[in-house]
Amino acid sequence: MNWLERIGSKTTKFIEEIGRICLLFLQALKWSLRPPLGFRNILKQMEEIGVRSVPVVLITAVSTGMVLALQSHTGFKRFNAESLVGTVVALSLTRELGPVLTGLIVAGRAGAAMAAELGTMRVTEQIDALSTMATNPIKYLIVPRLLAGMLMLPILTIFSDAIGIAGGYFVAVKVLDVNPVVYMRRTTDFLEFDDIFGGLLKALVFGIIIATVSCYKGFNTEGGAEGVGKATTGAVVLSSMLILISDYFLTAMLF
Amino acid sequence: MRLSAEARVGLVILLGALILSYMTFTVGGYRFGREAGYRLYALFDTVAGLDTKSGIRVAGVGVGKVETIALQDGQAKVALRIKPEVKLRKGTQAAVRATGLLGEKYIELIPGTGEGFLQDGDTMAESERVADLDRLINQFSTVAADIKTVSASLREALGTEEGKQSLKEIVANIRELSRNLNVAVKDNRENFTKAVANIQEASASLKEDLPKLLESLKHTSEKLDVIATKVEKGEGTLGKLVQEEGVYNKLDSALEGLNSVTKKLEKGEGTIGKLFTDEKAYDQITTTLEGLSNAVSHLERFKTVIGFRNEYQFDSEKNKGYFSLQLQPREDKFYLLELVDDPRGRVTSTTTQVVGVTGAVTELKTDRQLKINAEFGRRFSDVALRIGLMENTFGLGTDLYLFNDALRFSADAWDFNSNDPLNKHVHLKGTASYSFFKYLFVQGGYDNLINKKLGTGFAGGGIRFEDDDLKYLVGSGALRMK
Amino acid sequence: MGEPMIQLIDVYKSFGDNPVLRGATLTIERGETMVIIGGSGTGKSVILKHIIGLMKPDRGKVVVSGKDLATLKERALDELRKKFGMLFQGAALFDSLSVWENVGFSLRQQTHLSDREIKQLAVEKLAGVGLRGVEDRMPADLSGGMKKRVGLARALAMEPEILLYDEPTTGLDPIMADAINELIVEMKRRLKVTGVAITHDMTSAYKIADRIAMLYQGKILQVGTPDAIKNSGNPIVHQFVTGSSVGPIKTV
Repeated sequence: MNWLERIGSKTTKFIEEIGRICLLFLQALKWSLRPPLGFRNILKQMEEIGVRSVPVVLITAVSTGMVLALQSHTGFKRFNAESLVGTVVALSLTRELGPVLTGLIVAGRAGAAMAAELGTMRVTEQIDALSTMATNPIKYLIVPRLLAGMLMLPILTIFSDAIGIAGGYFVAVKVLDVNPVVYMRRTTDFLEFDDIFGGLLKALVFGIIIATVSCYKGFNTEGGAEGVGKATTGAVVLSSMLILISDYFLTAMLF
Repeated sequence: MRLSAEARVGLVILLGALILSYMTFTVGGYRFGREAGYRLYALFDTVAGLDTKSGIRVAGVGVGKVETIALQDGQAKVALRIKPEVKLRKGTQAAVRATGLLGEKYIELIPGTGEGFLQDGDTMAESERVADLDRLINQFSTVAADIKTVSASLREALGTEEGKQSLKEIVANIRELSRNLNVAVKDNRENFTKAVANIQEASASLKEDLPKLLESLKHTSEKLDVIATKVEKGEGTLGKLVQEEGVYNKLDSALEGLNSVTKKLEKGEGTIGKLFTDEKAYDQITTTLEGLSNAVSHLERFKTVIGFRNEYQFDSEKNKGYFSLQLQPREDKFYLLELVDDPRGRVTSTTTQVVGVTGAVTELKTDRQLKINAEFGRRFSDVALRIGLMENTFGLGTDLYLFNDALRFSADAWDFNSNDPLNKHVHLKGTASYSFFKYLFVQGGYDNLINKKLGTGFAGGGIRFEDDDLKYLVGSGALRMK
Repeated sequence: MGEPMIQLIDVYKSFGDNPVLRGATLTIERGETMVIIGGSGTGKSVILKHIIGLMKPDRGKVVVSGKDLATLKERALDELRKKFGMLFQGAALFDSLSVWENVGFSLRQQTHLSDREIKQLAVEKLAGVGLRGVEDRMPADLSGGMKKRVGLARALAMEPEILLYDEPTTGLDPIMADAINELIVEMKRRLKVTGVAITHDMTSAYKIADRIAMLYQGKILQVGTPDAIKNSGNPIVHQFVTGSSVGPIKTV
């Protein structure tokens, strides 16, 4: 097989995989609309995906906000427009960095765990066991993860927005000596509800991507412990990639 | 302290909701329901560069934001949201200004001195147009060109001695002539206005007024005749002047120049020349008739939306169809009429005891039924409230619009006291719909939320046409029929 | 004999280019225990997965109590599956749930019993397979034999009509294996269930089977009572049951 063929078959495989992931998502969506939903399971996943990701999301967001303030201050100082740092920090966090960074972190943390757990269940026949007990594995395993992802990603993003803006404020006001009142006015004047809401919509889509991709990879694990490892890596790589790709289209669509 | 899983999840969600609401309220520009403050309107010839959310200032102090910009009879109608604590006296005028030569546009309000204050819904006048640079330069150049022609011709006319002498008389004569013309013109204009007014009152009386109109036209031409004969006879200086050809020619061009100056000066009141031809009268009659026919089709002012949509219910695997007609007499008020083809319109249940199974088995039987929605709605900014008949029972609903109305979230509640044991809870429905083209939209949601046996998720889509599209469709259809 | 409970009719199944089943036909009657024997990788598990509808045949039919599985919709299939109980090779206990939650899983999913009632039933089922005082442990803390027993208790929780055993004795020491065999025989006697087991452990097969079927190259080669299989004239069957490396079955 020459390199051209290899690229071709890789691309076909990739597209095929995306198609299967979409189908899995639609199925999960269908099942999520059929009551009863296992509330206990959803809660458990919300804790797994959401609550446990809070510390790492906060740390990432606060340092991102601080770096943003530091970097943009250097530029704006040359125009005597230091107060615009607030605008830049707020806009880039709410529209872009908040949802994307949260998505990537959750993909690495919760997505990997999800794929590993489901992968293990697949290779030890636990998923088959579910089917034999007249319980649909998609409904029992994927739906709670999907719903939890859809709900928790936006909430984590809100945290990330808020703490990031706070970090930027701290650096700009306490370290770089920007007028705090003007800084906050520049932040609130140019920030609009649609910026925040658009960012949250993005996060919702990222939540869907992470949950669906990780579950897909876990569900399709083959070949024992090694397969579980592969599934885990694959889940993180693919969901991170899809987050970044879809981010472009979401940005073009929403804003 | 050790928190349970429920408590931890609950805490995180609650904190998230709190931060989000704090952020949305501080960034402003977004309020649930009615926004604070009152609304004023202002009409402008042009608002180029002005956007919604642009600032409004009085003496440079921010007092509100531009809410909407709409077109009304060729003018821009701008809705201004003014902070409640700001009181503006009647007679306040509005102007579009820029913060600098390249700065962003805002609206400056020039406070009036009238009795009483402007109330919610009042309309302000546009203040005198501030000279904008382009217009000024344009006007200056035409005026300058005219003056140049006049002065050039005058210089030539004044070159000869005799010309100098006769010019004095000419000027006097022209003054007299123009006064005469003015009188003639005035008479005529009054008559025309009268005629037009009569036409507007009733087209029936047009016949009676027509002779009068003709009479005054005759009168005008007679007067003109008199003037012309005077000139021809060489009476007065003007007559003499006509005899002497050299001076006449020079004067002619001077007159031409003057004429164009006066024309431009008088442009505000209409051109003299036009009044003497039938064209103007014709124009006015046509517009009047058009206005009459517009008034007859009063309905045209209504915004009408017609749509079809379908919802596929996952649980029952059936389709629920809607045909809807929305009449919107005002921007913030609408009536919604819908025919609903409900696959589970009538629900009957039979309960049977099966041997060997604990508890009874209940079977549901559903029949298709046609139902009616008739709702009255009010819209407040991004939120609409609806009340009325929903699927043949009393119901309430609310909509939240986002992204220029592309995304809509709706919640409806109806059927508050149903008798059927399986359908005993109130019928709740949540819908999210997104329109991605002008006519097409997709939607999904959950129907009959708390009646467990009948609850179902649904997804679907539909088409909708607004009146402009309808006019086009009907129009082209009619053309084809011809 | 009795009426047919499970019928495999000319079933074909391949994975990619690898044909596993090539026209397997087998009838299992109500109340009997059928043991399917065959070498590793010959598709015994695949047959089991077809019977419970986890896999669909490429060709042919699988009929369970008169219903063709291929024609059933998801819900009807789930309804039918409630008649089954399955013991997996590695027990397939849910790692995240305790022992009693594992045993009571179906009860929690399919009935409206309270947690207390479910736990009580689970303890009873565990006692039925000889386990006491383990209900609050996690599966990871159990030995292989105990896991199998818990798995059996879980399979019995909904009082199934058909029990499927995937290699019930594999990976257990001979004494534990015999104990499991005893349990299987007892289940059949006490509960009158139809049983299908796959194994290559002939001791186990002779002990639990009413009839034995030999699967070879994707087809059922011979079906008969344990005695008939033991004394089979077919050289392939003979080689397999005597466990000889010399014969028509190639080991490499």
